[in-house]
Amino acid sequence: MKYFFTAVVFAFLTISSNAQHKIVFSSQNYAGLLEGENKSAFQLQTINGFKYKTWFAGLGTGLDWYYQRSIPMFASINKGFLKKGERNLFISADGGLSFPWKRDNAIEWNYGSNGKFYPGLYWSSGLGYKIGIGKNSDAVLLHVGYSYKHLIEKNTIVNPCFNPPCPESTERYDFRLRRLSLKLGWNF
Amino acid sequence: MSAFKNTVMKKILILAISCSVFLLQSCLKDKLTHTYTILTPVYKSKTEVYANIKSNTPREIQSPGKIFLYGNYIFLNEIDKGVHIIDNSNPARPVIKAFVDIPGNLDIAVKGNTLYADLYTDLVAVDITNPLQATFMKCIANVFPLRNYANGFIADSSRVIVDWIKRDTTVEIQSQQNTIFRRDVLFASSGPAANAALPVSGISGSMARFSIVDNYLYGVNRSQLLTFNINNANDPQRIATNNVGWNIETIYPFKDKLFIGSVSGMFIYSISNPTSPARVGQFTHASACDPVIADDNNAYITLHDGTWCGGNKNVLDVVNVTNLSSPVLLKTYPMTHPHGLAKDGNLLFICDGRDGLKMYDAANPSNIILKKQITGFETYDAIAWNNNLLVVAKDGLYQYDYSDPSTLVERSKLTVNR
Repeated sequence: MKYFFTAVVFAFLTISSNAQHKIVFSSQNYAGLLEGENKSAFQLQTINGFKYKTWFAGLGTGLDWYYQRSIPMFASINKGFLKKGERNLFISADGGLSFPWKRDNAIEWNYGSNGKFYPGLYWSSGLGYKIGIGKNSDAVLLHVGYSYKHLIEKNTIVNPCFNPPCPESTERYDFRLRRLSLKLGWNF
Repeated sequence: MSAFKNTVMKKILILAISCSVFLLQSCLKDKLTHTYTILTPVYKSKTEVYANIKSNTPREIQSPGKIFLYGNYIFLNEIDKGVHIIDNSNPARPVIKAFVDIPGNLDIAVKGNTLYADLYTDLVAVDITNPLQATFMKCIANVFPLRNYANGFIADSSRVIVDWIKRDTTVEIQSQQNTIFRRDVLFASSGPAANAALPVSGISGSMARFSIVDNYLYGVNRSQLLTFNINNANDPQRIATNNVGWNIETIYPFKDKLFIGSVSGMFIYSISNPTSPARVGQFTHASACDPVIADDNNAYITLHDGTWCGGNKNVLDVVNVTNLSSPVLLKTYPMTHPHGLAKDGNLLFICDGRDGLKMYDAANPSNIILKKQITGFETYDAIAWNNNLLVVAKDGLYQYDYSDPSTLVERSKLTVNR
């Protein structure tokens, strides 16, 4: 992932040095909902990067409250199309990792449990509608898409016994969470 | 032309969105999987098991349990597998010489040329005149009747579970609320014992459930104190049974007394008549697991939570036992997660679980002073003898020199290789 981020930055620096067109900093900031099999959850995102012609690429992070609160960290790329005045549609693709907010998850009913969450894959894609406001690059963003996050929980359970050392067992839970993402954002 | 293109594009877009929404409905299911280990028992006939109770090729330590020190040998339990025989002539270089296969073994004790060990519910005697040529001598059945096999498997009377085949399995689950997937649990009852004098019968750790005093082997199961006559060492005879109470854990001998740790307290038995132990005192504490050791005036009891014993205390209780019939709590010291303990002179050693090993100056039991703490490992039990401290930890068997009472110097470590 580190290499991917580096590649994105490097690509933009390369484009920047050869560009005929203006490369400008752009920031997308979203609040929205995640709808899935589990109950609805809130999400916040900020994606910051560079805009070049109809392309945008940047790095994003945020908060994702679906099932287990987590922090997605991802690279994002957008492509605008069907531009009509200050409005246009865009498609987006994000990819990265989802880091659990809370790593420890000791199960209260089991003294010996030693649960920990670990990061997993995060990706999303979708379709957005950008409504430009004013002369600057300020715009309202509407976005609908599909979002996936994977969290891993590993428990080392010390099976209770009277005389330690008590036998241990390990188990793993994989949470592959698939959601519909609805976001309203502000671009500047 | 441009208008036509826009119209077509819009239709394509609407179609794409419609298809996406349709597809998303089936893609919005969360998938939760649970990966765990399934254990399948491997059985052998009792005849085969008894035939294999001998000095076999040395093995690496994988799951160290209780320890017993006898002369220049350390006997280290490999949980549910058997006993490592370790030549400790040079504590700086202990050498594993042999492994005695005893399925279901948790506790050990040695007297003279005989090793006593539990084999699940049974007690076996093994001749170790030459520790490198140990020989099975006798089995007494059903001494520890409450010792269950693991994972719901119970062997029949002619077979013994000698191993488990592990297989990782992944299953899909509906939601975490339904994921009370606890593997069944190994019931662990066990026990060796300790002796304050020279290792004539050897010294065991404080977590022991066996104890040898003179010609008698005392063992505790979940509720009883059992007395065996081992005058003929290879032919132990059960001669007495005392109902002590429920949830008995450990036994520690001191002079003519047995200190028995239970979940609810400590019991003191007199063995002035060794064939008929008699209760002379009792000290009650909150529910917790509690190995106990003692000296002339005080008993030292560690209480810890996190097991079937219940409770939420992690402390060291020092109990004055000058009046055996009426022990009195002298002082309680907070600990992290204390397990076994050992004492030599004024030095008190406490295995404080994940907080490592602690050495106290216990010259004044009302005010014990921490002299040295070693962290970075999870300790279970200890034996202190002749300036050499044996410590069983999760990652190995350690030995320390405590001849300088202000510090502990590591002599050696036999590493666990899981």
